Amino acid sequence: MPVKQTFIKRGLKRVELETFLVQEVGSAGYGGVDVRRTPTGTRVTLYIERPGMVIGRKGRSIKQLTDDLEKKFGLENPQIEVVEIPKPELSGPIMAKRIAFALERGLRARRIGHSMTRRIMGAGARGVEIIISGRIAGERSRSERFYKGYLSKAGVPAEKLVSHGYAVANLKPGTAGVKVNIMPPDVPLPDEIKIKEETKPTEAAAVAETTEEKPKKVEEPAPEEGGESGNTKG
Amino acid sequence: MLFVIEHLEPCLSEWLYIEYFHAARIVGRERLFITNVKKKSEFRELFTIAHIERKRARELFGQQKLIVLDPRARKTLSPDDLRGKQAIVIGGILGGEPPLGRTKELLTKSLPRASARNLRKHQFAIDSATYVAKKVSEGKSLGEVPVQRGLEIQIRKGHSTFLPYAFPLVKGKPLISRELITYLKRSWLLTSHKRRT
Repeated sequence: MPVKQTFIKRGLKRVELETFLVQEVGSAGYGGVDVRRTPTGTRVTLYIERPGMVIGRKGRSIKQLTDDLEKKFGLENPQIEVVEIPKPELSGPIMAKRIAFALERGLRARRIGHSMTRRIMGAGARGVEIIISGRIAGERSRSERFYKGYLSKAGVPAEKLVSHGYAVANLKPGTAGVKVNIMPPDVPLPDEIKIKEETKPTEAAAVAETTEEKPKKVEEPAPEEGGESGNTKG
Repeated sequence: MLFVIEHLEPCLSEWLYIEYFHAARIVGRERLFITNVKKKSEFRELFTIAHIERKRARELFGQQKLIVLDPRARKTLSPDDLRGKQAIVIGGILGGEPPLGRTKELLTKSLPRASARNLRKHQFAIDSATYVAKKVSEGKSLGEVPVQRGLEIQIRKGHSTFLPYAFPLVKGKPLISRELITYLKRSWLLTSHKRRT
């Protein structure tokens, strides 16, 4: 199989998996998935707002989900790990879904946009961008963009560090799309360089260093002493 | 050359009124006809800005003397197309993105003997389409009318609105009415239905 097709196939499989998981565990607050192959099988890590809903009573739901992943997506011996998202405000998919839900309930887009921006920034995010597009107020379609703080738009940080979320709101005038990009706090950006401060040794540490170094000085120069003394003599 | 806007929206929203008003400012009240205005309230509101007709364009003009602007038409509008024609018909539709092709369904199909033309692949607002049609009627080709795709309007710090339509450039600046910018900047935006009740 050509290399191109292999990558396309992988991408498609990932999209199908994400769509399936949004349908299955979306109500529990789905925040993303991480699939890794291990020697014993496939480890599927689900990031969920309310893990109890995914696990179910006596683990029934998670067993069913494991079977579905094995049958539908051909994952070898999938081991599902459910990780609780400590701050759902910093997860793009969860916030996108919350915004879409609020729109469907009839709240105004501008009010939602501003309040959610404040909430996300209040949770400690470095930056946020919310885009709500479609026939929001029932007239021409347009995109309302709300933004605050710092957000990487291109390169590796935008791909790896930014949390992207997308949700759809079905409104009376038509469908509206919601995109949320969140830059979490404490992410290591490649252009951020920290220079270590020069630490001045304290007196006690300096004394300890000199005591440690003394025996080395006695041992090492022993064979060279003769040479040095020879030079001085001559 | 006359310019005809066939009102095809179920109600006259504020945005639509602003676009009609701006189109009237571009071509002048004498040359602008707004047809298919059935409601009395809408008739009264539009009466001051253009010639208003309850009838449709097909009942007022000979179809063969009309040019219909439709984004889905096969041919592109050129100054030669307007020879011997009486009016250019523009759909009074608040289109969406991506376009649904409502102009073809609601307007072009009702005028089968009129010539349908597009303004290239761009989707224009009603007033912008009127401006471009006016320029073509003055002898300019579409290539001579510069166009910008999309316009972002800064509402306030941290909030902007993006309009995904084509805007003709006049002296390097996109053509948009001040009233529309004011309307978009208003924070107490309500839907047209709510405003009317």
